Amino acid sequence: MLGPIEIFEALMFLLVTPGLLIPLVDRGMREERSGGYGFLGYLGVAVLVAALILTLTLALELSSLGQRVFAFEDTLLFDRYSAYLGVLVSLGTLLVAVASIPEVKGWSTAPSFYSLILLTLAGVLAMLFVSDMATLLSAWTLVAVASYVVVGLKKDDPRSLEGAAKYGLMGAASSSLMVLGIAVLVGLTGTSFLPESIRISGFQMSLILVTLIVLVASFGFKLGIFPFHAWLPDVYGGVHPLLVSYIAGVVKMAAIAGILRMVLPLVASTGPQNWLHVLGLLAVLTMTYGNMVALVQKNVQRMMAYSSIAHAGYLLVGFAAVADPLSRVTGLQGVVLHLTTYVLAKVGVFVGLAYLIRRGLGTTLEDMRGIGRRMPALSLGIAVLLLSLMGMPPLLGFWSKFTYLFLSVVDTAPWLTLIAILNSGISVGYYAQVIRYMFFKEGGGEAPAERASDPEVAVVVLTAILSVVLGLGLAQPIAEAFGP
Amino acid sequence: MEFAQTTAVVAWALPYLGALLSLALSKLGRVRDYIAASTLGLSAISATLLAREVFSGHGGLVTWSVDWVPGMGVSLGVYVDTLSGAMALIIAWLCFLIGVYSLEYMAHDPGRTRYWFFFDFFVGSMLLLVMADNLLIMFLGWEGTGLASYALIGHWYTDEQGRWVGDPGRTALGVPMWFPPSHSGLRALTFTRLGDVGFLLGIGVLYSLTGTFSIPEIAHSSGTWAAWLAARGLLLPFLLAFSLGAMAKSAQFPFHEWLVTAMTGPTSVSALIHAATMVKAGVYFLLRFAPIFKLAEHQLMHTLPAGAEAIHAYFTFITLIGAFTAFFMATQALVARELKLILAFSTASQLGYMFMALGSAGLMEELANGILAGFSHFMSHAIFKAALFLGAGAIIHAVHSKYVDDMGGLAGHMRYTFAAMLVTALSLAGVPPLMGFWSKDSVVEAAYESGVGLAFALGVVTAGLTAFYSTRLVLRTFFYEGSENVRHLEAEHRLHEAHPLMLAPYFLLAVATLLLGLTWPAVGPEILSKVASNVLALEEAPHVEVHLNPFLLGVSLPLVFGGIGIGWFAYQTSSGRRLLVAIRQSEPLSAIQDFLYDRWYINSIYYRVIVGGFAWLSRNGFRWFDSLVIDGFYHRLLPQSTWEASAIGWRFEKGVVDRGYHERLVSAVLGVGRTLRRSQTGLINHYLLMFFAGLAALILAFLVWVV
Repeated sequence: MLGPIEIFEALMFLLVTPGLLIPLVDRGMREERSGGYGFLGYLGVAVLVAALILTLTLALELSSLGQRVFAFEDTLLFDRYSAYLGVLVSLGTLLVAVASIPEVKGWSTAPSFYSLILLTLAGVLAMLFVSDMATLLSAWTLVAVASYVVVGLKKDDPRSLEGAAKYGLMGAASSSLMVLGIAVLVGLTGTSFLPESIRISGFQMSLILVTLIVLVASFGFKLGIFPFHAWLPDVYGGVHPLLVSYIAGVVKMAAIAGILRMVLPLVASTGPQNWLHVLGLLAVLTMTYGNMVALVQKNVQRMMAYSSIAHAGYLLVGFAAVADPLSRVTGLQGVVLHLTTYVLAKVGVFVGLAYLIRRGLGTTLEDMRGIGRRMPALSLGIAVLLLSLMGMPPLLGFWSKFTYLFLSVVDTAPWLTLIAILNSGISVGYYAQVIRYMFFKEGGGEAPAERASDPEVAVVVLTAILSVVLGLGLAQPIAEAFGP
Repeated sequence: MEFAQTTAVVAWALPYLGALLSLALSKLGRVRDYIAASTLGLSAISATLLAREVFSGHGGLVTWSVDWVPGMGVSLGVYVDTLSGAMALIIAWLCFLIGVYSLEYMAHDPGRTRYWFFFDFFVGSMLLLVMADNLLIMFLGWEGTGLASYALIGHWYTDEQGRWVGDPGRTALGVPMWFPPSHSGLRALTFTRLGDVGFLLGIGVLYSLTGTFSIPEIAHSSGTWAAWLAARGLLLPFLLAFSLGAMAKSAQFPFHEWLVTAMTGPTSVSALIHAATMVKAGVYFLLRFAPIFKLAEHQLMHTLPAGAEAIHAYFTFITLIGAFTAFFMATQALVARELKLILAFSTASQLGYMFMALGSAGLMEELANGILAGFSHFMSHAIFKAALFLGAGAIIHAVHSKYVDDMGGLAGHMRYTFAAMLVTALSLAGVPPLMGFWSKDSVVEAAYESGVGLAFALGVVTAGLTAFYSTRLVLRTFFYEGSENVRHLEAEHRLHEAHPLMLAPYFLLAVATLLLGLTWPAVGPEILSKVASNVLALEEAPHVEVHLNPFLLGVSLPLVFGGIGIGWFAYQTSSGRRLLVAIRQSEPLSAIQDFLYDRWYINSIYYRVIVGGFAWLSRNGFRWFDSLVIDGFYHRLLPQSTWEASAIGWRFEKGVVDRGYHERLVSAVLGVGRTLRRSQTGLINHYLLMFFAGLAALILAFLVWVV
């Protein structure tokens, strides 16, 4: 039986080797290659299936081990919570890779695509387990730079390039802030090690608060936390949805990892009240902004972009709950469950939108008019995923959102629960709108019919089934087995 | 599992199975329809067996539960006491009868798979709702019914004009007053979800205070959590928020608007969901929780008088909201032109009566009497209103129009339908000895005993209004002068009685109304005391009897017969018709009519203030941001300052620099800027500004606040 460290090493080799080799292979084969890049897709899927199995083994092993394992001179720390998030990102990447095969094989950038998603995944997995600020910075850079390129991979689409430029510029701004935050932290603690709780004494509270806000901003930018969200609607809403499914479903986890490993330890130093107010305020601003703006969108892809912002706000509620030791566990369980909901739903929905584009439709509400009749499986899958995001029982989204995230702060900050539930009520307006257009609107007679062999449809249906099945009683076992 | 438990589980699980079957067997056509309907029949039989168990053995209680999320105390369980047993019995049978009606009514509809899936799904959710032993399962059923209702309201999503509700082209305060099915479905979902926000919040508060979702446990610890909330002055806000879901579901003011436009659904759906069952979920909520709140009041009485007062205020509020809704919706029913709309307004009005009775229950000396008044009106209304809707469906089907103007003179052509609708309409009007008379009398009596004078007055006036519009409904449909439409159909011999499969359900319901009414003084006390014999948190009513208060009868009966008489005069005599014409011609009177017809302008106000206001806010919010920050800063302030700076240089170098060179340079710079702006839409700087300004604002805010 391999130990956690060996599994992690195997994972890195598994992902990085093909990640670095794929572009070279392509260079050698360029002359002979006549068909598309389909074979790279199958290679990517094969590697990712192996990666999923490895992360799953790692998570189960850590869960049964019941303790955390330090590795590589304390620069990495394996625990079951992060390992579960690792399973989620591997699953997300695998689903994106499966869905990408028919679309990406025609792109000239296909080798870069498969190379980059493997390398990014390696970076995100490393981010999840870091316990040292220098390691964190290097993993973060790998993820960040790779993700800017991923956004720009559709070279013939100006919006893709525009999105990449914006994402890159905003990313540079936020990464510089992160370096500032790291510098301050190293200065305050005298070490680059990231313990479970950073205790800083003898300094002004104002300095600690500034550090907290700076760090939240630098990671929060990737999550789309208001007011650091501005790039997100353009990238999520403008770039090819297949690329977005990867950015939204997988790359985002790097920011979650950053918050878990570097921001959460600060809670002891800021004190529960300050913590609750900083994160609670950001949560309220973020979800309210996201939901309000989503409500007036006519383009479903842009709507989903703003819905992602709203969901970042919901996740902050769970992080805010960490202020209190009693609500800490529920809050973090809520985060892990809601990320499951979110990854499944967002990967599924964006893949679904990518499918519509590939079949010659658009992503506005008008384009989706009546597609429920020509593409029943796809539309039904998207509807289930939207209902899960909405928090409709008994789907997974209901349990993760209401019974964990929102209820976690009901004792410490009932106002936050209230605002979150209100927000959730507002969000029904736009999710229902999409379902209404898909099923209850005339039209769509000319839309092409879905084909059972299309992998996008399979991905949407699979994510929908998982959202249902996990909702039927698996939420709690997951929270128990992989909770903090 | 014991037999009784099995019946309980089968009752709600079978319809869900039926829903799945109707998907799986969608290729079978009619056979699929019959299978879907027969699962409802089996579910009804199961509910009957369950009711027998509850009412005879088992001490009036059947419970069953399996763990679902053990860590949070969530179980999938049923708690069937005499109240939920009776509710389940009535609901299951109504669903089955309306299912039978649908077999014929929807026989030629292309979307039948969808129809039966959601129909059966609805029935399962509704039964789960009334039998749930904990709040989360109740909420699950609650949302399931809402989802099915949303889908079925929009069943005719193709939005042909014939399916609309309202008058195409008519506007009130500039807001369109016609609603296609898909729009109505969305309205229903949005309005009811607004209320659900409060319901969920209440569930959250109860869970955090008691650590459980279980309704019986919450009932037993009612003194504790109520005291905690009362000590912080939060008890009344909590109770109101918790009940918001019930108010929205049962279409109480100010949430009533959705029910009106829900009439775009198939009539069988209106009968089932928007008259007999789902809209009663709010009533069930109060039936279930009013005794629990009252129990809390008793426990707070001596320790925390303020808390007891808060609960008293809550019940007063519910009484008043119910009374106002009853009156307010009845006035709109007076002038409605669509047959189904008259019934929809009437439904909301009658739901108001039930709320009034249940609110009054908490204010009366004998809680159980008020609860039973609410329950009996629930039962009688479910029966007669379902029959009225089903009959209305048959009539609309026959005359191919939903407007009463296109009806009239149908009595001779549809004798059985006429008989059934006459009996049920008189029951709605509250004419003795029909069932509606007894139950309405007990509701008005409850309002009288509650001591809320305004509610009582509104309740009595509403009785008169109800009698008038019921009379109008019957006369305009079956008598009056046959409209051109009817004469035309008559000439072509196309007017005939409804299909037996359609007729049988509402005829049976009409017979039930009549028989129950005739025998009520004898069997009523028996039935009601059984229903009250073992209800959670309710002590058994000491003495249940059907009695008549001469004073109340003296007030309400003249109003009822007055209403009928005025209706008869207006629509059945020639001088009355002249009067109607005069009313239409008189300006102030027709203004009142328009006011009622446009639903007191409430809908327009909602659209203007909420929908319009939000659109305005988001539009202008972005515009201001755009014009102030982007335009003001980037396009005005920056260029102007650079231009001024460069102007100084320009004057200085005026003689030196070649004019053409200068111009070329300027246009080149501008060209680069334009290109850059195009490639980045000029907004990335705005993003970064926002990023850092936001960061600075946050830091400043917290520093000021902490230091």
